[in-house]
Amino acid sequence: MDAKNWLRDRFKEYYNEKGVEIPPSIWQREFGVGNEKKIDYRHMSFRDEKELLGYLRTNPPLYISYSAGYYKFPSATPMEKKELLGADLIFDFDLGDISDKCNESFPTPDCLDQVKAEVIKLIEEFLVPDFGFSKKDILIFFSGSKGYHVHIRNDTVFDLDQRARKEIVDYVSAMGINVRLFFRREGKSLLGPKPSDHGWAGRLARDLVETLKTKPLMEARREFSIGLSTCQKIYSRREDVISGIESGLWDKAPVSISTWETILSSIALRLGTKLDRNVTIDMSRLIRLPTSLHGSSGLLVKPVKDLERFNPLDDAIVFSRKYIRVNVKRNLEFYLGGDQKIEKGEQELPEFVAVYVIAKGEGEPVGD
Amino acid sequence: MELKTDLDELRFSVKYPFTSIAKSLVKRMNIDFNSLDPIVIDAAKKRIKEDLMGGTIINPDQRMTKGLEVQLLSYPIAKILISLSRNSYLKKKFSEGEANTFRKFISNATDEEIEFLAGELGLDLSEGKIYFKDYLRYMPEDEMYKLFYQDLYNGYIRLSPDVLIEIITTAYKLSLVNSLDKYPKEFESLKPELDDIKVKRFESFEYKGDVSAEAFPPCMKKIIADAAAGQHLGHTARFAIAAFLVNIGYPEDKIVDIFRSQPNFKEKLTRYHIEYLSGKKDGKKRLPPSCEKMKTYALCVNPDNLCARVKNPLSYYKLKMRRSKGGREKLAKR
Repeated sequence: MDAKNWLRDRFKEYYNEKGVEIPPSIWQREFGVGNEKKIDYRHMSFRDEKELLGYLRTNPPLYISYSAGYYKFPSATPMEKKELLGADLIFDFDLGDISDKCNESFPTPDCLDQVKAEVIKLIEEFLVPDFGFSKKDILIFFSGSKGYHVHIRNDTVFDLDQRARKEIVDYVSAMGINVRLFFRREGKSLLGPKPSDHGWAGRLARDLVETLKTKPLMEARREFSIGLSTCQKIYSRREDVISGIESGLWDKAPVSISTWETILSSIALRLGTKLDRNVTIDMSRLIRLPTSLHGSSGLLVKPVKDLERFNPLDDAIVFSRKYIRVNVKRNLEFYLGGDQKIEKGEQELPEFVAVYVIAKGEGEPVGD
Repeated sequence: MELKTDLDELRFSVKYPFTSIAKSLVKRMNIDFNSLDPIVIDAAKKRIKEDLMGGTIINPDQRMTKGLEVQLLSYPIAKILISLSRNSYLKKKFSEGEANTFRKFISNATDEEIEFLAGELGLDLSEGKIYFKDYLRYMPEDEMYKLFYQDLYNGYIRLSPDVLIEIITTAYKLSLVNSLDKYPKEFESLKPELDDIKVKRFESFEYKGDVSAEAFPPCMKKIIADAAAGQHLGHTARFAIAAFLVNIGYPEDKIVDIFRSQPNFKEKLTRYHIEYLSGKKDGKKRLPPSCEKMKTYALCVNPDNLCARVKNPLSYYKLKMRRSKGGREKLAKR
């Protein structure tokens, strides 16, 4: 049997048993579905829970996405005729944005933890303390494959325009930050950010002071991306520099403002959240439907309650342990609900492993 | 907002003719908009012309009540005329001019007045703080107003007095532009009055032809010298020099060459930025930062006498080129 049809049969069984959670105002959302690509068709809409479930239970796609936007006419084309009413605020995290090393077809728990750390950073460092969003409005979903989505649904974000969304994602990702603007001269003094400041000013100053207090010269030098002799100039007056910055005075070391600029820029690069900015900015973007299945893994697009303890490669598994006959194309080693070591060839695998391997194109179902 | 006398109320309304106070005053004046005093119409036209030049001149300290009333009435009439024009460029320029006038008054307003005006514009200011969403709605374009540099905590931004004034001014400008969208059919008879209001689109600031490096202002000379010495230029310095050179018609290749010695030089990226500044991408040419901004960026160095006379490094160049004989010829050539 063809791998894709076999997968869709598994998905059909799943949707018949469990269904999906219906997004709020479903009748105002655009949907997109795909079997060949992530989205083969878009401009679809479902009036209510019954319609969506009916669709998934008879003719399930491998991928289903819905719009962050709310439209008056979600299935109208072209886009302008849909009449955008507002949109959720979305942040999209993917392995590909974290590091090249991690962007493999079988993601490791380690790599997924790195993505998770970025999600935690976004929420704990930016959305809650700076923007004052309440955690109950912040929904976190495992993407079903290699990342996470954060959705904010409330009145504040609903009618933010594109410019505002761009400004927010610039802020959380430090994109385009010009650290020179934190400094000004007053007489002979160079005034700059101090740890007690709010927002980015305080964040940069706190991080720098922390490094100066706790890290040895060589380590700091790497972090600051400055030359050795320049870093020595700072470290030779370390205590003065620290107490200076604590009161917003930045001329306690014989280095130029451009040195501080280099240092703060590299700190900003590290403290900014690594994510896919376009997803936040583009209000007509479609994103994976929460609690649907992901066609490249067979894992659930799962709502995450306790992010710290969430491990997608255990917690987003939905299929059973019942054995399925599979022809595996090559030797494989990966983690899914435990370490898996699979040799090339025909064999029986637990259903959840079989679905995973087949969804990744590394095997084919045998029989039936 | 308490205003003690009728005259206080009138003066306040002249300064802030968009407020509910001014509106109710106009209403009480019982003006027949269909047979307006020609003086008022002329005042409205004068107001528009001045706005198109950058801002209207308002004198709230005038003694004569009649003069104050004419100034006050010139505002709604000017708005009607602009709305009748259906010309979006006129609407934009008019609103910018009115916003500039407004900025002058609000810069000297009391805290009580500022709070009142903010409220009239639908801005919720509590203890000098504003919700980030309102801030984003009225955030001015300049880089220094980006969210990075604001005191953002728990959703609210504590505004410095300067930023507060800019935000309120922008809020006013936007609300004014929007209020001009409705076509006032009932006043269509006033339309002929628009005839002698000329719409002139000014060419963007540009000097083509030969470029004389000697006429560069000291700040730009310094950046070029720093770059030549292989010194790392900060983002603002790069932006300033590139925008300056683009505007005086310096060839793109030569601008790229200036950045070649930068430690992290990337030709493609450099060209991309230059094309952006020159408006190749979107037809919008960017000006270099004003002298005032160059000062805040600590990029204004060794200012000379001529610097004191200009507001933008470009004007320095223009003046200097005019003064020098060779320069005069070069300018004349184009």
